[in-house]
Amino acid sequence: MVLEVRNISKVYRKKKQKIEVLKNVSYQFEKGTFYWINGKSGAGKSTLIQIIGLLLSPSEGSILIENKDVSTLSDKEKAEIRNQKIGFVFQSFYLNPLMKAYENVMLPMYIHSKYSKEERKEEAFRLLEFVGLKDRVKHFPKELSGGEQQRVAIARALANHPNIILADEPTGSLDPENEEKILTFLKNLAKEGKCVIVVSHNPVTKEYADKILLMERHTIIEEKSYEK
Amino acid sequence: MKNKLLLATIYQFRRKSNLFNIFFIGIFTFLAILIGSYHSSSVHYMKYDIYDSFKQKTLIVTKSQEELEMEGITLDDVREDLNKLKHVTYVARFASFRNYLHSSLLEKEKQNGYVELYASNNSILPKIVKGISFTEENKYTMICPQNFFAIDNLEDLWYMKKKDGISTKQLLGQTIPFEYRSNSGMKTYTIELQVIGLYKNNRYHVDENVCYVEESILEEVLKNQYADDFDDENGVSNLVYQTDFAVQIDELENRSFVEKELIDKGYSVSPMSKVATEYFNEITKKMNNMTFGILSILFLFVLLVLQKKYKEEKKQYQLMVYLGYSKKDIRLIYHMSNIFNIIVSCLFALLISLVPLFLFYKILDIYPFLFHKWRLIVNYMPVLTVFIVSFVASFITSIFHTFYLFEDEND
Repeated sequence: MVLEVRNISKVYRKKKQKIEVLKNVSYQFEKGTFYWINGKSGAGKSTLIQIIGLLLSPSEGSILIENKDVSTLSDKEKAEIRNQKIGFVFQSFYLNPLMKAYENVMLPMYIHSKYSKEERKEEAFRLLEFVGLKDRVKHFPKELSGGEQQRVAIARALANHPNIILADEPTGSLDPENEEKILTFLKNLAKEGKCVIVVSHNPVTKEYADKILLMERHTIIEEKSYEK
Repeated sequence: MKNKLLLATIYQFRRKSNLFNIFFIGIFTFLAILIGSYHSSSVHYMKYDIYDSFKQKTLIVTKSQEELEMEGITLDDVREDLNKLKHVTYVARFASFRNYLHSSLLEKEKQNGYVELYASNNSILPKIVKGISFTEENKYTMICPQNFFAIDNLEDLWYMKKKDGISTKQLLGQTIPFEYRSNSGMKTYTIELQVIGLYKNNRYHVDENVCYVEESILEEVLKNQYADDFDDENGVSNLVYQTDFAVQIDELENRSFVEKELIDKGYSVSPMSKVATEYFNEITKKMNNMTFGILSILFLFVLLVLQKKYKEEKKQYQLMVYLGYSKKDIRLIYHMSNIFNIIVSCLFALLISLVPLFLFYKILDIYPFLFHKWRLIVNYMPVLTVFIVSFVASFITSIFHTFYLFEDEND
């Protein structure tokens, strides 16, 4: 087990009103598995991802990463965990427009880093080759297609070799051909031993998922495996 | 830290709006340098050319020969009366206060050998940098300027360089023979004066291109010049009618006071040289206001620039949160990138300010006395001011903006 959420709840208070976004969510995520979190808007999917990614604090409950409780760590310690253990992929790619592809990939390597300057660059080039962008390493994001940009984002997510990949609507901005490519990459990462958690409304995702988690009424109501 | 510095600096030049900001802040800083320099140069001019200038502090005081006879007083009585006045440091008969003498020894390629001599004493001499001041042993001595040109045509000085002047190493200790004639031109006289001291002067201060002697020397010269200059009607030397006195004052600010005292005593008074200081005071005041205005606009501009920069870069900082940068790291990187931009702007301003400076000195090299009363003081204080103001603004905005980057909506 690489990640566990225990009794996670998230409540917002607006004026005197209580808004419940997550309610008593508990689950164990394993390595080498592609999870698809599905559900209607407002079910709490993005909030759950934010909490797993240590970007939001739960109102109640705890998060364990590699059997260590990380929910009460300091901001600096959480930042280190995010850098070393978790890779993020977003719908809008979120690449730095002023940096070339390999420079974007190097961005997570600048801190808490075990790499030297030359090793950083070599690793970035290797990761871009891994995602099929060997010939685009020195291109700026505006010179890349949507699918290529998302692949750069995936390479960046892998920069520090995290065990957990969190993807929030990774195919939301892509055409069907590129959707397939990206989902295939993510699937391959899971096969290589990573825990891949994808939040998506895209039904195509189910064909790649090992486990499907359905969220409704702010909690996980169902877990099933996809049968091909 | 090295990596954070890299992130804060290297990519700044890739954003066109940053280049635009650097350019504009640089231009504003440059304008502030120009105004600051004009202000400093004006203050310098005011101090050395006006407030410290002995000609500005000298009044020509007159009672005519008829008035003296009517009052039954002599020139010595007048001298005594003037010496008693408050703020008066020196009194000399004006006719023997100043003279031009020629020495063929001082003639050079670009100099005609004429020296302007002024009467003085040890209490009012300018600062001696080499040699000594007047002594009791020998009154036939003179104190000359460090940067010395034996020429009486000021316009010719425009084209002269320091090497065209008299070598001060050769000058000190040398005895210079001066020739002069009586007013009729019929008689020729010689007087020898030894250079015993050199005083500090600015190479561009033409008014200070004078040598000082004791009053008795110029009295002797004057007497000889008037040896055959008579008023035929009254049978007296025309020297009798030279009843003006030169009165030197301790500080320029006391000139009005002394003028009033003299007028009250029945003297006619005119300044030997008068610059409308009110004009310069007004200009200086306007310059101060302009500097304040420029720096205020610059401060606001920097704030706006930082606001705009943050809005453009906000997503990148949010991204850094996801990638594992802590709040402290991001705040530091944001702050460093702002400081880097400001430093580059200031360097840009310094660089472009060198252009007019270079041109100014180039012109001065060709026409060294073109601005003979004006010494350019380049004031780079605005750069430090801009840097400090921008540093503070950046520090405050970095804390303010990065606070909102991490707002947790949890109660």
